[in-house]
Amino acid sequence: MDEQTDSLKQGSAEPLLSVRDLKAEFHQGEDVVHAVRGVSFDIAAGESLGLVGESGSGKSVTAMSILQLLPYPEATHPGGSIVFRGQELMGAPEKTMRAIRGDRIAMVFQEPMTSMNPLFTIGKQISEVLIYHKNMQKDAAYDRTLELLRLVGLPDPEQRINSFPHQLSGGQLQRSMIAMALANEPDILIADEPTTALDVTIQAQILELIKDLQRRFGMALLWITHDLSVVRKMADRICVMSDGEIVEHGSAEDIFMRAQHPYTLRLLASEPKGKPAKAAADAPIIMSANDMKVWFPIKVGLMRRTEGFVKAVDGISVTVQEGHTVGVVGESGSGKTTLGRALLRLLNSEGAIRFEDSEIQGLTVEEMRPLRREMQIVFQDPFGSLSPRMSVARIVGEGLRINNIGATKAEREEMVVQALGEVGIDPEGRNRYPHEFSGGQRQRIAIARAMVLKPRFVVLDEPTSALDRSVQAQIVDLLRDLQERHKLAYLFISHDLKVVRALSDSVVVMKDGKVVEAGPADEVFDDPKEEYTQALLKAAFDLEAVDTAAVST
Amino acid sequence: MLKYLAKRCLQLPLAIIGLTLIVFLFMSISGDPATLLLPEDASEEDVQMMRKKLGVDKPLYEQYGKFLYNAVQGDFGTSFRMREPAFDVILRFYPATLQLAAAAIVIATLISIPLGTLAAVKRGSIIDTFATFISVLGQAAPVFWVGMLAMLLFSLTLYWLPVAGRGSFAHIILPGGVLGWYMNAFMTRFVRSNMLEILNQNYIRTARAKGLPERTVIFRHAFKNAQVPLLTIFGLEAGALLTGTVVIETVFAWPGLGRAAIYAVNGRDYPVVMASVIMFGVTYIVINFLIDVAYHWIDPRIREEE
Repeated sequence: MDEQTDSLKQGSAEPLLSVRDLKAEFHQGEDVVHAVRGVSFDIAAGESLGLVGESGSGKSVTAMSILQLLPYPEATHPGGSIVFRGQELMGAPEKTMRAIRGDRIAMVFQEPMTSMNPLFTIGKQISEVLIYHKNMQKDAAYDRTLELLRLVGLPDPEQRINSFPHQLSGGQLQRSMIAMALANEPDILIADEPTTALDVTIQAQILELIKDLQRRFGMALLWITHDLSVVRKMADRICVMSDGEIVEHGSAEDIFMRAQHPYTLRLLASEPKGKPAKAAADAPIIMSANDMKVWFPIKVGLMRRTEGFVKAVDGISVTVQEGHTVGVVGESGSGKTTLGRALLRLLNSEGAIRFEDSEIQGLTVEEMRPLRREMQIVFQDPFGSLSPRMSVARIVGEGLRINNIGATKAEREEMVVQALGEVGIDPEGRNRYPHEFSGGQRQRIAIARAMVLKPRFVVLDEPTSALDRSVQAQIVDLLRDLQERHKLAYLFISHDLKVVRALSDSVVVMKDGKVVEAGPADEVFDDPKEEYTQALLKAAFDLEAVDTAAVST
Repeated sequence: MLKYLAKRCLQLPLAIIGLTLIVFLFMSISGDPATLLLPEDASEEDVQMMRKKLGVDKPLYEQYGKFLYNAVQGDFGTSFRMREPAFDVILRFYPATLQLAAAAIVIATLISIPLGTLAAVKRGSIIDTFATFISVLGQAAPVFWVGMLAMLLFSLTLYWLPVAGRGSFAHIILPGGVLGWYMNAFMTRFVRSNMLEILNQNYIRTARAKGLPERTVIFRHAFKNAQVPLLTIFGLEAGALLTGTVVIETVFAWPGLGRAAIYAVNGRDYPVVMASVIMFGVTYIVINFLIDVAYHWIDPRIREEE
């Protein structure tokens, strides 16, 4: 903890913000969801408080309640008090709230891409806060906005001030959002998962920026996140939320070293750890690609003339052995998903692809069909990838029917039951529909859909990214277990280096369609040779930004 | 922007030529005009002579070429019934239709935008129920029936407004109002659902978190975004509006293009039918062109795609 925050904390006897027994409910017809059930905490001036919990724990609702930004009247507060600088905010008139929002208490949200109005320039949206709260003239507000954009380290602020949101990257937008939040030098900054949607290297930059700005402005920080390592870096004190309640709170050190509550312990234990069991080094090669290229033409003009190519995958060679996992890591847009799909021949590509003993590059759709059952894919989004109108049994059994596996209906049913059992889904529930299952369960169903066909090679495209950490750990265990039992070859695509480390035998680091570094997992993780890999690892494991040209902003 | 405009302007004639081709083909497969114009007992020789006179004895492509050549000069032939150039007939009726459509658009916009927005902002309130009631009623009741009821009430019972025809300002209130009411039904519903969706967007939450007053949030941040889909609907509705004028003009004896076209169809007055269909088509194309330009003006993302 730095000295300034320390002194500020001691200087103020009573807290800046005091939340007592806060409750929030959502009404939908007859149903009532108790999102927050009596939460209490204080924030002193200049202090950082972390609110940690998994999805549905009520942490965001708590944050939104402070500024009364919930969708009323569907949302109600049956009780509680929120006192800011001695003033009760609960039930305060709209006018009072407006004077505080964006002025004394500001917020930064999770998805920078959608949190800015697409039809106004960045400059307009930031200066709006100054004009409204400080009655600034347009010119003065413009100058101040430019100053703010410089402060948050947006490259080329003179240019970017007149840019529209779609012209900026996620990281640049989040910097602009931060500039907007800081415009009136607020007393409290509420940051609601501001880095979750960003790449790790960008996340590290944003975390450092906010920490630095907090020091400079001496503001208090309420940091909402599901990510324990982020909160460890950002918060002095931590409240752990579960099911609408704070189950444990204490200093960051207390929580990480001496956690008491079983939920906190479970959360701490769910950080992906460990390494895969050593697989046989001489295992046969299941899938390999040599100098693979996937170029998408850029067409322009009326005649759709090809003017260049987006080189999504640009000369990549990869080999996956039986029982082994090759982790493919890279930031968004690096081409890792394209690589996975091209290997399965779901996308056209160039370069040799061998599956077991046969060359599959150039095979027709018909010729590929008998091989399909042996190569499967599991997608990221367990909500979008399962048809909502099919029962689980039909979803899992569909591949059997299509591939004419199993002689009778009963036999196929038996296979479905077995596959569901293997992934830890009670087969009794197989006639239910996807919406009746949680995110983790759906991902298990998606895995069962692939496993029922007894594949040899599975592409796992970010299968854990949409899941909470604790669920993630279970899925990782499941995948390891299945691999061992069936000697599966995995291509594991993820931006999450921690999960990749826990699962992979070897790693390919991708950037802009090319391989930056590849090798055995231990070598790449423990002794990265390339600057980019080093920066990526530093950002992912230590949340530290490295000042290097290899990383974008 | 200028480059885009120039490009779109070049596409405009292409679309119109395509339109004339379709209209021409449909007209030529609908029957032989020569047999229609002549009495039933006309001799084969007379028919041949008439076909020659009308030019329908030539091959289709030649007919079309001649038709196009003449059409670009404003010559669609002579009306069979009125014995004057078809284009002059069209020009005489067209302004009345434009006036009617404009009145309807103004009325529909003035009601649907505030009503739909208010219904979305105050979802579940009396206003919302009222807006739903208005739009369901407007869509459920056929426009000619509403027209006749309105005529019965305002003209024949209350004597407030003229029954039919065109002339003073009072004349346009009923036909314009009824057509506007009909358009409003759909637009109110659309404005409401569109606005509801936008009010749920993250950037609206951001605007509120900035401490902006609700009216700024709605009218500045939400409404500007609502304009884009609203424009799309406007373009689609332009077609409905044009067909709507045909019905309303007939009900209210409004001397417009729609009514003229109906008469021409009934009388198999090919040149007038052809000219009026093309006129409607051109109007539709021009409206959609203007809408495309408006998109560019409002949405920077669309501006950049080109």
